Amino acid sequence: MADLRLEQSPGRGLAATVSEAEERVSLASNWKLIWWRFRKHRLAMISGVVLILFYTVVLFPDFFSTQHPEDTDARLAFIPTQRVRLFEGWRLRPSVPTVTGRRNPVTLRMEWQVDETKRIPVRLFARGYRYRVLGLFETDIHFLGSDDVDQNRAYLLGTDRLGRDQWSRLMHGTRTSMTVGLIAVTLSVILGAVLGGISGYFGGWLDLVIQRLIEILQSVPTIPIWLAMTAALPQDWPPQKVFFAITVILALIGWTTLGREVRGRFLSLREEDFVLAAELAGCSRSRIIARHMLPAVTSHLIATSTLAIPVLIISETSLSYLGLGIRPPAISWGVLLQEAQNIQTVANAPWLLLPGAFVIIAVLAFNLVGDGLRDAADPYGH
Amino acid sequence: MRGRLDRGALVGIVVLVLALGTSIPSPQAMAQTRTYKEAPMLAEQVRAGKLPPVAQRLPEDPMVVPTVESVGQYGGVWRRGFLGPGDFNNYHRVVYDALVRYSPDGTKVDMKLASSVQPSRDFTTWTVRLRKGAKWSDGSPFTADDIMFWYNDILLNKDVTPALPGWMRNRDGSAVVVRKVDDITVQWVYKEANTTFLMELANKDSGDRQFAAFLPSRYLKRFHAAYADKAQLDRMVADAKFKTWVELLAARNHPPENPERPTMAAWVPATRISDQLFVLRRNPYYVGVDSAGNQLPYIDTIQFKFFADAQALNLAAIAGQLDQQDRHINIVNYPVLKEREAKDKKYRVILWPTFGGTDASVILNQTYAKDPELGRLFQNKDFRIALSYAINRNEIKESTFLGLGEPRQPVAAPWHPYFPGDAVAKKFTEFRADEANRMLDAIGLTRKDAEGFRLFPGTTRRITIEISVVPAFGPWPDIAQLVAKNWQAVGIRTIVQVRDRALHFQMRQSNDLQSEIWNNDTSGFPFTGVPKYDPRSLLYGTLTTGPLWKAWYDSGGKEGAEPPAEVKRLVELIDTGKSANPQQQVRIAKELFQIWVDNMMEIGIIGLTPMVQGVVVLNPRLRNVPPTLGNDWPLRTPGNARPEQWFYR
Amino acid sequence: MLRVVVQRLLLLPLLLAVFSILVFALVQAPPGDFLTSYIATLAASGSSVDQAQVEALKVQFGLDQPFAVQYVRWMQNLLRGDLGLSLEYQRPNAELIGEYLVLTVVLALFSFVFTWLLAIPAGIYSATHPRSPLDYVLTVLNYIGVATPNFMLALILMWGAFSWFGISVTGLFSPEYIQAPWSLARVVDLLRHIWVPMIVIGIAGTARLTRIMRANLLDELNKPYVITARAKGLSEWRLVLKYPVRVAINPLVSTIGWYLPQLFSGSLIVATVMNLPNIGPLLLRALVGQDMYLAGSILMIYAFLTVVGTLLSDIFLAWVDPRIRMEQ
Repeated sequence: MADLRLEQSPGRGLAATVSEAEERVSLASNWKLIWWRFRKHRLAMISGVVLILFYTVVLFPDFFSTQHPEDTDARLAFIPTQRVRLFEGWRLRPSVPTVTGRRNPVTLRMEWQVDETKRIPVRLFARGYRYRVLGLFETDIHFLGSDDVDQNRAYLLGTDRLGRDQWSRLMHGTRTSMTVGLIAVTLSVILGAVLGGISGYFGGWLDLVIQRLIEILQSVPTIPIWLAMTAALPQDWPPQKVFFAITVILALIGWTTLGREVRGRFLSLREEDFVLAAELAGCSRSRIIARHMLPAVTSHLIATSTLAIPVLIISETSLSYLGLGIRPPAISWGVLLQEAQNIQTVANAPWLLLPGAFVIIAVLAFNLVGDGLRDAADPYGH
Repeated sequence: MRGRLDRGALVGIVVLVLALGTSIPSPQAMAQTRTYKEAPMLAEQVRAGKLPPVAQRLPEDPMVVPTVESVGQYGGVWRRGFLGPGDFNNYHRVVYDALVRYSPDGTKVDMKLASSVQPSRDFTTWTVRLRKGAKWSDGSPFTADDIMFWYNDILLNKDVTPALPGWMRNRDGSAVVVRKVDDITVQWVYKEANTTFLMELANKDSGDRQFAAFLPSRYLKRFHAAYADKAQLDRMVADAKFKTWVELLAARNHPPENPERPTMAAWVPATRISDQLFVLRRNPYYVGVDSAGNQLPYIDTIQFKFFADAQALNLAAIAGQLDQQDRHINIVNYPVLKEREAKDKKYRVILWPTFGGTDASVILNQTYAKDPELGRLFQNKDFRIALSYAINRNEIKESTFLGLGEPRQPVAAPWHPYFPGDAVAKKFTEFRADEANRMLDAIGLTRKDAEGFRLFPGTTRRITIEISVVPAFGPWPDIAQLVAKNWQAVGIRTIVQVRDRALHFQMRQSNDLQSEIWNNDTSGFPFTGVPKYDPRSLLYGTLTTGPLWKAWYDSGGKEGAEPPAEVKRLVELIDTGKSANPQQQVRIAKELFQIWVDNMMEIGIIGLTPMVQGVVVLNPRLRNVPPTLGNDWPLRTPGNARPEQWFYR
Repeated sequence: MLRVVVQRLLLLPLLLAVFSILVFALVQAPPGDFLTSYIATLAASGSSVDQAQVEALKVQFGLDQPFAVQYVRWMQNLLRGDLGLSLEYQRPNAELIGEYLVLTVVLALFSFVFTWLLAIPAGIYSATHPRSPLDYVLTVLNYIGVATPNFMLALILMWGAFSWFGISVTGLFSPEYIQAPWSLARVVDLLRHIWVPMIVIGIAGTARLTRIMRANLLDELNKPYVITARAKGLSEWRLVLKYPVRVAINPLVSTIGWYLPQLFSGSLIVATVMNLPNIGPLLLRALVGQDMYLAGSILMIYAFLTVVGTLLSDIFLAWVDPRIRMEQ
């Protein structure tokens, strides 16, 4: 395209700018090129922003919480989600209605009356419970909140059976779940790329051993491993440590799919001319793998690993459902969903299934970003 | 519920029953003169010559079962849910196949397969008379030999019974003597007085996969090494993949695993409990009749449907697919159940609250050894009382029990003769955080760290308590978190560990639990079975008050930890209770509860809720189901509601 | 090629031996044993057993042997093709697994067919009409399908079916057919129940397969031969179906071997939630209850099928794509 335009260009000035642009392209690093192409993919960009938001929450969950995630109050159980009203008249004064609850004497269900006239003002950077930011300093400023912390709190996404604020619990759950996915995938990608690459490139007995290892790992169902692990991990470990250990286990099992795929790619790449050329030019094997073949499978790696994150997030929720995953009092999306997995919630407190929406959004975002990245990195794409 | 029984009269009844063995002036004579009627399906078989007439099938003195509302009519299927072969107690609770059984209110023992059980004046000899002419479900006679087979070949056979159960052991460790008097009479001869015999006998069905105290000897002998041909027996063992004949015998003896095994219950298994549908059919030889002379049961068939998950079972109940279900109905689903009840009218819901005790308690391990300083703290009575005051029980009640039940200590229910009064039942249950703080300060835990947590005296180490909790039985993980919050508020750092139940049991056994949340049921039975108040019974299923005390008792004081005076007193009381006369038993039980609560052996939280199988879903057409019922495992609820007289209108 | 297959077949026993150790270790790894978990289950119903009863139960379940003895016995029996006895069910494992197998395979086949019948056409449509409204709709649906934990879908579907239509969608049969022998009426009853679990189990797979099919086909459609064919005026349908679809579907077909173990294992969590009588819940139950011979047997069969499935996959792969040489 650029060539074509250059020929058509009537004046030198224009030709100069075009060639400047072309120079910029030809000089740009591979990653820059990918970024430029990625930028054009609108959905992927939006999803990227969503993921950045998620990871901001991961860094500062307390800041985004409106209340302490463990604060219980029997009198505040099962409050439904509240509608935020932004304007009062023409003035921007966000607020939520007050609610009053009472237990139905027959069904014993907590029933909440919304009083739209009496409102609780909500504002940005409100004061709330004290917490530490990244373990560095202490503050009580929160992104959102009502001023009157003791009396009239806002429950944007309602409360659970113990009267805990769902919004705040979701913020803390986000931290756990998004981290599990990321760490586990990083580890699996490394393992999968290295072992799969070796297997696919060298072949022979190495291939045989690695392939059988993959088979073994893949045919061991995760549930017993999980059962064994959760029981075998030292009981006095804090939840974070347990959670990290579990993540590592997930990765140790999870790399196999990736490994097989990389191997498959390598098997066909090995037959490509450029590898032969490199071999003829006297490149060492490790150099061929690292400099020529790995970059060629990068797009595939990225696509697979972005697809692997959601799979990990879902396996975390599934295992938690069986009571084998991360356990309360630690909070994760899986834990929140597990607490919501009963008829009582589905029938009478459906808002407690909202963590499921978070799972879906996060998975969607990962997938779209992954697709965008793959398209952008694909050398044959455009 | 509390007002439904006149307590004075009740004590009278219990005393009478326990002393004399048999209750209710039996209307046998009346029944005998009658002609009996039977279910149409049986009448058909009689006409076809496949079954003897009803009068020949019934014993000479059939059990006359009082009906709750009215005499019923035959027919129908009772659909119920179960959770797989491990859920066999579901079957035992429904059929309650025992010689004698607890009454619906749980305060007396009625005759069932036995026509009378009489103690000697000194309570050392108990004479059990069976109903003459009673027959097993295969039509073979039910006689004293069936009890003697159990005694000689099961109980006294070391291969089958490695250790004598407590109720068959004299104080010197020897086996209690059982002897045959005549074809239908058997005597138990104890070396000491035993006043709990009837209550023990009422639990000698096959519950918990134990061998019942009466067995179909004719059928079972083919699986017993003492009677069977060795080569044949070995082949049977190998074919069924067992290793020893004892395993084979146990499996073939357990009715839900083997439909061929004759039983005495109102319904007998037609399929196995390992099947997707576990079906029971009416026993044509059942010993019970109603006051009009109709042979029971009224309902033809019981159908247990397998559910892999309790959630699915609850949904089936809400959809009206179960006709009577108490077991596995989750209390948190109560609001949904009630809303659907009003809307669909497919079922009605009633509540059978637990039979006293508590549905959640925190127990501190007083012999905790891994952290001696913590262990010493747990031994401090004031520390335990302070922790009790620190708990906001009303919040727990509202949050986790839908506002049902009441804050209480683990003692008998108010309607039970052993009830020690509210002064004991409610002791230390008020929410008094300031008093808790004062007491904690008073025992020297005054120093706190920057975050406000109390430190061990003279150190910079935080006092940290771990509550181990199992997510299976009730809303206990939630309760644990609320308790932890309360304790943190008075400066005691608390961590909740949610554990798999097998792991939790294992740790309880090995003295590794610091504290746990559990329930204290069976509080109405402090002298029989496996009382939770008895430190010697601490094994798997009981509380972690002091595992090392058990080791001390087991080893005769050589191992473990010597229990404090109040614990020794508990043991003494339980032992005297076993041979004390009924009036004394009431007094002893009350003293037992007093010591238990005064020393805060167990921090009771909430009791008298319908948490354990107390939310009952009923087909609206199902009649004769008692609206209130004593609900506990020793009572085999709903078996004590006499399901054989339930019927469909 | 043949040489490799033979080599792989020879390796099979060795692999299975490694498995057996792994499996037994895993089944044994959780603390406690069958008895602990058994008594814990009894405690759930309010009963608490005493010391004498525990001793009696040990004898009744044959649990008094040490661990090593149990493993050796298990291995010996396994070599003789004897899967042993389930502790909880007190019945031979082979009999139990056989009982559950039919419905497990039937359900798996149904969801397999459902997945492919839906995913391949959807993938083709999306790839041939990229960026069309329906492509976007399908893509979004796919993403959501992949993103929704299927047990959650199951729970919501179960409740929805009940509260709107008043029907219960748990299980695979009405009560009267659960124990009935096979008959036409029973098959009809099965068909009336099987569609919900079929959809729930199949949905995520469908979404994934559609995505892959779309991507593969898109890659293929950009290749020069397609452009040439199109330039020559071949009708679009014939053009697409004749070559690119076949090429794009090849790698998918080659993974069919992977479904072999899945046919057997049953969808564990969904089957538990939806109360399906297949191997999934049986395995979960055995694992949690530490019914070690039953769990071990199921896992061994599963492992065997995986190894065979992988081998079949590799053969397929080499067959459809001759560029991949199997031997070095």
